[in-house]
Amino acid sequence: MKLRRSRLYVPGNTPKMIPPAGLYGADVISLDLEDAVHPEFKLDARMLVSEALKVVDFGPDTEVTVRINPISTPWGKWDIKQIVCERLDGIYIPKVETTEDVILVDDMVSEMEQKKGLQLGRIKLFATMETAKGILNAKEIALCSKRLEGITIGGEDLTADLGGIRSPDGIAIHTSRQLIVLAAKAAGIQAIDTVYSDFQDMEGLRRETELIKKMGFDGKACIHPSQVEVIHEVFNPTPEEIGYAVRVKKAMEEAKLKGSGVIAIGRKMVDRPIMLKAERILALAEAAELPIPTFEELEEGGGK
Amino acid sequence: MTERRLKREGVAGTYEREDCIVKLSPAEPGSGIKIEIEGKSRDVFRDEVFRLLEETLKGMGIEDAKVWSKGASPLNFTIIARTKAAAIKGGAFE
Repeated sequence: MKLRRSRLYVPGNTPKMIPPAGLYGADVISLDLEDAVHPEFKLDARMLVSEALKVVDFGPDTEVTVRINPISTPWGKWDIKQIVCERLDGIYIPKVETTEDVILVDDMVSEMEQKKGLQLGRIKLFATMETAKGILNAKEIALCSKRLEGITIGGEDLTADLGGIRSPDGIAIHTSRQLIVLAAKAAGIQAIDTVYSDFQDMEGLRRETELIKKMGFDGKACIHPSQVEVIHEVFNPTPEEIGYAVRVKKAMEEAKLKGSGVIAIGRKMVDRPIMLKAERILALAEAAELPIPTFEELEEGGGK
Repeated sequence: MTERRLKREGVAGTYEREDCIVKLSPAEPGSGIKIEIEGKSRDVFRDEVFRLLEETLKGMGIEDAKVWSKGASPLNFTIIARTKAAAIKGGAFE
């Protein structure tokens, strides 16, 4: 399982913020050439990010991505030509409305990989839907490229496009979030949520992250390093969840030996959906390097 | 290496911390690269900044240019990036 609990935006034209970007523990960093960069400095940012990708050590486990400008703009196309390189793991494409937007980026990345002698297909794509049209096309978009490993939602732009009001309960984009999760899961890829803009409101961030985790999202974007820890706390399974998952796995193994598809743990019936959830929790715990006790250790400890 | 010439002034960068401004202007053919540096980098890393500016320009095929730079402790990748951006803005690749 590829962990993408947190995705930290780093302004692409601010040199002092780039070298430390890998130090905050985010699973993904996104060097931003789009909203964080004034139109007058698009070229400056593109060259800065390009040079940074050659030399800055973002950490071996950090997925390094760049948010390019919309592919409908000349900036977006120039971004791809300049930034494709060995250290680039992925590209976030903003303002995606149709499959053509993603396919165009896919083709351009392939061309640059070939031109620069890089491994073909290694650079992943992530499409961000931030208009009503994009959200309604999410199902097709999620399936349109083998490079796509996730789709995301752009909360601020989407709210504006819908004519709604951004509020703590997220009501304006609630259905859109559900559609993104549905489209992602149907395509077998990840769903990544939008940012929580008030970086000083940690309780609000926690509430929103808990909400989107319940909805099925795999991670959340962040605009400030201080948000990373809270997001990880919410997405990481608790020791109790891990312990229960270990028991479920053991119970299902025993059920299988008995030729049964269903077994009870305590007073709860455990069947295939519970098993799948347990497997996901254990995969998440392993990827996040959290302690996973054995069944025997749980029994000895009278564990939960 | 294709020889390239600046067609106009090109400026890139900011005065923010760890950044630098690089301003390139066209120069007479054969006049070489003339560099003027202001700011904190002048005293401590002057030679390194000179080397980076010159190497980056020559690496792009630019042999003649007037260069003015002012920095606030920029890292090497920033100096290189700002120089390349300024050269593009200066029409060296047109």
